[in-house]
Amino acid sequence: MTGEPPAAVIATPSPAPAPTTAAPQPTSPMPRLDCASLSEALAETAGGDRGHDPQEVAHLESCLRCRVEQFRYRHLMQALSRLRDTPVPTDPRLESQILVYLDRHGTRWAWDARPRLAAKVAAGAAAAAGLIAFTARHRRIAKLAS
Amino acid sequence: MTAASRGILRVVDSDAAEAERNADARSESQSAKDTAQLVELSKSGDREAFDRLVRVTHRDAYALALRLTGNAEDARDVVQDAYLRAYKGIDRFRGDAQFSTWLYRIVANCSNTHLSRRQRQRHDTLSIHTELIDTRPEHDPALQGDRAELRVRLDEAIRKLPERLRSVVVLRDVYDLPHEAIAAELGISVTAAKVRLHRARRRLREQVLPMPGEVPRP
Repeated sequence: MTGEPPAAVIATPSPAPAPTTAAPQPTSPMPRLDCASLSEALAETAGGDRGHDPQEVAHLESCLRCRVEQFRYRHLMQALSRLRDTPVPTDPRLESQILVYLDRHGTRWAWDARPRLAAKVAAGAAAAAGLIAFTARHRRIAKLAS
Repeated sequence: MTAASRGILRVVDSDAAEAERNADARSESQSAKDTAQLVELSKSGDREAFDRLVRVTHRDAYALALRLTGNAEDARDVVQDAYLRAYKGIDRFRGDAQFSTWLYRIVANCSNTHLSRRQRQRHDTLSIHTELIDTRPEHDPALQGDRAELRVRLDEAIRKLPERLRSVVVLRDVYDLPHEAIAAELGISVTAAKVRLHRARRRLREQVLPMPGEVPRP
């Protein structure tokens, strides 16, 4: 595991029941960031969508409690990503239940499932009927004329 | 055992591990090719090919449905609906992403629909179990137990999350779906999906790996 604090750091108890105000703050000239704000940022950055800004980094460097919390978020994220490969108990009948359900409801080739094909066939049929009617009329006129 | 023989064993072990990794990678690549072929055949109307797709993917799809719904019966209904939608709409699968990702999106969407429908029918009773979590400060779970134990606690904590938080954290942090896809399938904005995700992570961290003296939120 990367960035894992030493065991002594993890085991360090919280300095006070309300650590959001009691934790040490960075001494840099940047505006101070409290533990509660950093805690929100830790939840946000845990997935790696964004990194920490300099203010957050400065706070983390000076605050043991927040480093422990950061470590726990990493631990959580690793456990979450491992869940995907963890099999869950599956009913052995599930596969056949899905296939039966598909047989019963899977009307993929019916007109309702293929509206574009249905429209094309209907248009084709209408055009063919029109052509036949037009040809028949034309022949009748030609016959009458002759 | 001498230091030299330990060194040789380490090298042999690392070679074996490397060979195993290569074999895994080859088998994954072969399985991806097989799936792609089955998808192509299914697109051309081969029902048998689709049945084989069901055979190779249904366990993963069910696992996702179970994690999203938290209930075996609902998960089965969701998976059945998802495969039906996949079957009817496989023409629309362009192959930009993996078939499994496409299927996960359908499962997420079906699960969302199913849970919304169910919520209208009955009240959510999940919150009554929240008090079962041990909040004693002397218990520091981060320092106790192994991976299996952590997994069990995590599974339990995920099940107890409100549905709207559970969906995003499962889809993003377990199944690695992009924020945009999650937002689209759940019918919410990307910003809302991110806010829910951060809340869910925070709750899970509080429940599974609480800081000393921290009381998890209900």
